[in-house]
Amino acid sequence: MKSEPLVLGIETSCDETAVGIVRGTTLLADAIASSVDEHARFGGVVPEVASRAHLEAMVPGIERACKEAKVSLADLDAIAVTAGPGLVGALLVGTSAAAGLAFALDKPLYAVNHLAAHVSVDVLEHGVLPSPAIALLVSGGHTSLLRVDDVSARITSLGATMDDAAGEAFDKVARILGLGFPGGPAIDREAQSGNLSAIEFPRGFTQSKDQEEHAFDFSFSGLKSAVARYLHDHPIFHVADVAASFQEAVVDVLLTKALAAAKAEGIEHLIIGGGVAANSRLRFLAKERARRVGVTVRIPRPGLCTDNGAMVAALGSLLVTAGATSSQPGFEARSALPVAQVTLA
Amino acid sequence: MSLTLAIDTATRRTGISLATEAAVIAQYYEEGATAHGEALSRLASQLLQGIDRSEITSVAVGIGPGPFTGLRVGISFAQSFAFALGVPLISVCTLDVIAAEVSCNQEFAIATDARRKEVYWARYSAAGKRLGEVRVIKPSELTDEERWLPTAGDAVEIYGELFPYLLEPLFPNMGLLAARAAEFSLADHAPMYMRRPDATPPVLP
Ligand SMILES: [Zn+2]
Repeated sequence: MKSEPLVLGIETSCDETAVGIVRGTTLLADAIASSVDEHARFGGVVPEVASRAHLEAMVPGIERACKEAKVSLADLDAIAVTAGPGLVGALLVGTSAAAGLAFALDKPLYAVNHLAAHVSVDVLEHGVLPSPAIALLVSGGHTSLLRVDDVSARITSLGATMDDAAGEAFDKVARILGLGFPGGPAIDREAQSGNLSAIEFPRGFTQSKDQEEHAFDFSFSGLKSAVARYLHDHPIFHVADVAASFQEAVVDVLLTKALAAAKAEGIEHLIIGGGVAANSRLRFLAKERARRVGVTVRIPRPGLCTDNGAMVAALGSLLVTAGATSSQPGFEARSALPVAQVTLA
Repeated sequence: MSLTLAIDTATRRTGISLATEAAVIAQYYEEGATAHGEALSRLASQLLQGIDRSEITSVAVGIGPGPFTGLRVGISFAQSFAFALGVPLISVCTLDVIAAEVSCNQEFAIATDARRKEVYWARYSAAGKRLGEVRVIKPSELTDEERWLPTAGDAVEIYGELFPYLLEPLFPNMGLLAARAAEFSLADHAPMYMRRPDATPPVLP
């Protein structure tokens, strides 16, 4: 019997240059370099700065991952790489590096969807994915509610944000609160000592009039404006209370919609991923509320929720195991790759 | 056999080749100001068909000057290719490769398209040796003496009226690069971006 596939995954869709290696569903290496500090003064990721950083960090990342996994590149069965969605200039550094590896080693290359990879990563932590499952993916770049019948082949989008991504809302609110960039961890920390019901902030797309068109879509721009308005109207405010109340509003909307989707689809499993899934309140409340309605929740540890290479390798490994066809040379990295496209032909 | 793989994505012509010091095995090109990544992979799959990778003993890559995204595609590919085989990566200036094919009995210049109405420009001796630094400049800002130098590179196609004395070629000859890579080797592997990043902060209303 052939042993489980050894796969290297490359992820460069935003500001993390990440290389992971897995064998089957076992994590062997997870090397990540981030250019986040270079973007901090701009309050957001600057694509050209991220792309330059990716090029510098790529080969050292591959080298580090091999060392960590104690494997040599020649042992690999396949390479996997994020082909979208993401910043195109950033994606291209990764897809080109992956192509270089695949051609040099004469190994198959799988160009994969970043969102599908976020879902897949949980196999490394909790084993075989339940299916079907609802997946809630929340980060600075995406906010998606998915139905996952087969993570390596069949994913349907149920809803997405109509304006800001959840993580973006954290960044923007952190900025007006003077908490710096990235906003997620800062608000999480600040909120620990705040009163989460101090201020009643709006929950986007949760009223009955939204149910028809936007039952599983999200909107965070109204919330962001409400926070700005509150600060304007209350020159003296308690940062921790604002942070906690804002965070509660985001988490509440995310979970309400995710669990409503599970109910509507008749699905008992929820998988949560993406950088915002590292948020402590989201992790706690997800388990609480899911338990009450008989839904199981799986959330990878925070380090695997944020963008990483292991998630790409994990999806690559699932694809190899499923006997999926590898990608042809000349596939196109795409900034808005739809989630229904798990791999590029 | 000892083969060098050469790659260049610094101009709108993506090129790849394989050569020994004695002979060019094959060279492939694809035109297009964007999509260098897709082109490079397609060309590589043609070029490497049936090639024993263990015969490739070095990789040469044009590190520019060139437009950011396209340039990085070639460098990223070449870096990881060389790393995977454990062979040296030779970084070369794309303009030097174009200059190597020029035949001219006086000083001349190479100018390639830098977009935004600018060119990458450098001056060469009659023997093909680069004189001074590579610049990125509007052709109209070159001195008359500089513009009147015989000039090769694809910018002459675009700004022909500004460069009165035209030379060939327009693009790097990839076979020549692969066969003579060592001659072009630069000490510095950093991409020749020549411009700062467009660090426009994202709009956060
Ligand atoms: Zn992500």
